[in-house]
Amino acid sequence: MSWETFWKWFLLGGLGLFFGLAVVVSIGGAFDIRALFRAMGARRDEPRDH
Amino acid sequence: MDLEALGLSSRFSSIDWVIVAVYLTAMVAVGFYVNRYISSMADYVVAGRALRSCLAIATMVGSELGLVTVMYAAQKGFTGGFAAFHIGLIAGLVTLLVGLSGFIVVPLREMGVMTIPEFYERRFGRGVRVVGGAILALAGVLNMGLFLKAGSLFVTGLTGMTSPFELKLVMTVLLGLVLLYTVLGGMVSVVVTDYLQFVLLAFSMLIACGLALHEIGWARLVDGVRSVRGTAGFDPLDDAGFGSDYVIWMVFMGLISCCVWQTAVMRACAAESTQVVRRLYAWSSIGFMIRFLIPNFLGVCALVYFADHPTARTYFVDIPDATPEVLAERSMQAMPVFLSQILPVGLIGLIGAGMLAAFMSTHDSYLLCWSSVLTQDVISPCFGNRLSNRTRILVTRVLIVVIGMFLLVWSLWYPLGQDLWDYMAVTGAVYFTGAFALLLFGIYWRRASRCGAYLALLGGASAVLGLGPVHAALRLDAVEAALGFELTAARVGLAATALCLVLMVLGSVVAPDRPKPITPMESVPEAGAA
Repeated sequence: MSWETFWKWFLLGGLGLFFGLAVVVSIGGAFDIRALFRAMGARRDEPRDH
Repeated sequence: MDLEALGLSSRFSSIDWVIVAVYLTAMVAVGFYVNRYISSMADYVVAGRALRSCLAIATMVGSELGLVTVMYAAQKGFTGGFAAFHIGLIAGLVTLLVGLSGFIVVPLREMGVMTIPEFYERRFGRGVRVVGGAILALAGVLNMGLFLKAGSLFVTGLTGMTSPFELKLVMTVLLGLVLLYTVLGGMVSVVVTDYLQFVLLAFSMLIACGLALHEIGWARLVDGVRSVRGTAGFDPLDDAGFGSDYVIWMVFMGLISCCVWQTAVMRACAAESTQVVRRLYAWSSIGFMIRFLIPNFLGVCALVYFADHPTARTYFVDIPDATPEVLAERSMQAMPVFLSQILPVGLIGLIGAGMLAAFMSTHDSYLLCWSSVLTQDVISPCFGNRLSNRTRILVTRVLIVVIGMFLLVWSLWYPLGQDLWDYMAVTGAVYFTGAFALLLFGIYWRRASRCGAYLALLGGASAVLGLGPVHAALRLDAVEAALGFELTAARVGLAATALCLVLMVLGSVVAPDRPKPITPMESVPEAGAA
């Protein structure tokens, strides 16, 4: 395989993989942010409870 | 620079400025909002160690796919052609291997350290932590010393602004915004803004790649690179281009970027568990690859676009009597100017907003990283670790502002006579060549000693010989003539790495640590090694 062909398929494969990752992480990350805020909010409120 | 005289009027319009302003204001608002969640240093530095997989991946990729990364990787694509793709390929493969094996990062997470110098103390003692922390912060601040310059070249190229006053004003305002929300929010604001930046930049960069490919076409790209760069534009092992020693240096850089470089390690330390660390690295390998691949590709497109341009060719490609500084600056400007020519109104604003957010994101990650290293690893140990959480956060915030001021001065003063990526690799090497030896032997070799650690850390300083101005000041041309080969940044970096590894082994064999009773704290690294 020539370098031109190798880089062409590497580029297309890389962009495709990244698109898939971006979709999954964008959706999953939104849920994770909600969980992070809940966890940190609960920890912040702890001293007041005791 | 007068781009309009070259027939390169930017398509950046007032609508695009509005998009940028709204987006950046929203980012600052997020910084204010999340400030109320900060209650301890662990919250401030590693987000309470509560990051789950998707958010950890987004923030890691978001932080690494910064404007500066895009600028230096595009510059590599412009100067190296398709052969530059090897950097992304290697970075992705190495990160994947780290994720699958847990090499270095899993033992670090198991120990629960926040910074690498904290590991130094547990394994080698407090003195090594202070020296290592100081070297890390110094190298780190120098490493980000040209971020503002890269950012300013991007803003100039994309918007077509030619007035030096406007440029300085925009950069100062940007730095002010970064300082404001980093000081306020710490790691929590960093992860949230990195996530938002990841979403915007990932999709807008993919669209930009599609438009660039549509504008030029694959066949014209291949022909253009061949005519300008020859076979070295495709084959990374060709000595007329990168060469085999550069490729080996990139393998090492790939390893360092993901498992020794403090900003990446901080993400591992912030992960919820070691399983999340492995998953984070395995999936982030795509991000580590793409952060080079997409900008490399846009750089290649810019090269072919300007090589075929009737008036801009002599400005960007065949520059008569160019100094190294001019070559470095023009090759960095090429990608944003190219984007300003092909992107439509609206999309150019979104890309601009995403890139500027990326600029802020990288800046805030690095500012937070180096200032917290100075606080946790240099200042706090000097006070016997008796500083309160409140004092540590205050010291970190003051340091962020001081480092920010230094960056403004350094960006305007330092003459960059080499590719930005090579400058960053060399300045980073001052720290990571020694750090790699300490981590590798500290985790996996029981006999590694304090003396070896000191020697390895100091040996890393030899990497500065790879910087252009240092090279010129020490008249290394004469040494090169005597040796019969060129002392490139890659060769100097590899030699510094080998030196640190040898010094670590020699120091440990000649001056081993005295045996002492094992305490629970000191037994942790050994457990990690098992």
